[in-house]
Amino acid sequence: MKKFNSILLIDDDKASNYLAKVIISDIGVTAPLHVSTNGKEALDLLQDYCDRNQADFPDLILLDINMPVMDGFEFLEKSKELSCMHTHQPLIIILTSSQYHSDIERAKSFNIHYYISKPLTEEQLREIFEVSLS
Amino acid sequence: MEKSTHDSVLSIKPLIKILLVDDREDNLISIEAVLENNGFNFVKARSGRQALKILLTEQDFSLILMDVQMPDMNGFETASMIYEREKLRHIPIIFITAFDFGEDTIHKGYQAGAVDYISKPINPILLKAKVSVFVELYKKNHQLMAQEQKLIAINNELEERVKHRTEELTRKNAELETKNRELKKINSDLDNFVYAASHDLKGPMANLEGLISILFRKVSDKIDASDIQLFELINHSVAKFNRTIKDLTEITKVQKDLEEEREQVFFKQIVSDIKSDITHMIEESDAQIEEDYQVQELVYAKKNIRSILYNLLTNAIKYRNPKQRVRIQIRTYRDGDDIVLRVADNGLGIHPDQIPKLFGMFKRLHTHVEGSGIGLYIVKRIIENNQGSIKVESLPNQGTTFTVNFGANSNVVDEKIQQHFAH
Repeated sequence: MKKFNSILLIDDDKASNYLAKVIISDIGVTAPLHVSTNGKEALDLLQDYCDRNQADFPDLILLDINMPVMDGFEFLEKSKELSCMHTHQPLIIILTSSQYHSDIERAKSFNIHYYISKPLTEEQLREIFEVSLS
Repeated sequence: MEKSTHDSVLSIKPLIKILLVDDREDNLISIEAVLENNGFNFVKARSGRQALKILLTEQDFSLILMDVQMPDMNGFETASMIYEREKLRHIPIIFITAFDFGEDTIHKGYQAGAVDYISKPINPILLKAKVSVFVELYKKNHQLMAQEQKLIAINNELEERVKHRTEELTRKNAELETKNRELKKINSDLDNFVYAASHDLKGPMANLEGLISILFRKVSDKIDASDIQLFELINHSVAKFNRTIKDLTEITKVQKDLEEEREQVFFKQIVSDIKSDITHMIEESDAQIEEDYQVQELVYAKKNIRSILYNLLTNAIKYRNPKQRVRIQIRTYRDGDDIVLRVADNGLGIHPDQIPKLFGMFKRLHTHVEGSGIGLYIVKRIIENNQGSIKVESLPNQGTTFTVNFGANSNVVDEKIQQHFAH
């Protein structure tokens, strides 16, 4: 398993975040994990990494769509303006319970290749890592 | 029968008024005497001038009997003056004349408007006969006019009623259209609500599922068999809940799928696709599927025809009779212009009491089979939304036959003709 610098989990649902953490640790990923409860918080955090600690910029982002303050799509739109997003190109996985066709299509328009319908499972995450990190 | 109609038409018997014009009182009296038993009403005038004066105020005479030979103004002169008035032209005049009149006189008389002659001395029988002819004519005329009036009245009433009804229908129609629009909107709102609600329930449920499995992993080595059973019950409930949500989503999807494009589809192809999807189910049950397509194709949304056949086929296998080999017959044929699909099995069958519940939402008639019972509800909804119908015949332990009538608008030919006309 490739070593991640750090992982960012963006979701307002506590139970969902807990599950994601357990699954990530269960498959042997030990990188530091940060949680943001909405897109705005996540953007601020990433900006901070850009400004002060690019070495630890997250290389895996798990992103929910429906969130208060700033939703997943707005986050994707705004994050384009972050210069270090381009340099680091983190792996982004959308993790949501939305099965709206429109949401899936919209995700594709952001070039997001992984769209996971909750619940996240060990198998799904392992498969993604195997494909994208090998 | 005929008499009563006449009576009803002639509810008011016409009063027969006859104007007698003669300068000699005795003549007037003798004419009156001949005709008096007929119930006529006589008005007498002693001169043409007096007759004209009477006719100024009274125009409702059935007949005028007039002497030709009168001083001052003779009968012909009087007649031509009478007939100058439009209102009086309908009154026939019989001239009474003393001398043997020649061709010339007759001509004069007819020019003046006479309709008949009678000569003096008056033959009572002839007078009676001639008068009665005109009286009858008058009565008939009167009758016809009364009938005509009545018909006009009926006609007017009918027109009024039709107008009223039409207005009412137009109003009701508009009301219905409004209601229909409202209902469509409510329906669509409801579908959206159900879709959104089922969707919102999915997230927390997914979490619950994950959390339970983590909890189980954490405690599995510390708990006993009864605790494990508890976990199983929880998992079972969660699975059931998830299925319900999935079904709810399916139902709302049917509505959305209605906007799916209709295309030419082949029964054989669809059934073959389904069979390969459920190979394990067919092999496991050793089902024997017979296919007979007298109608090869129809115009339908592919997704929808697949859904119909999938549900009917899998139901036939699920509800099989364990005591015998599953035999399913799929047949398509034509009933007039309609395309009909028939799927018959030799399975468990359905008790007659249960048939009305068959197409309801969440009705599962056999408890040993897993499933939510949403399938047939969806099947019926698809079919009816496409102007078709589905019916079922079943006998317990003998089998069930579903007959789907797709209606005439699913004909491929129709579609081609339409395309032809469209170009």
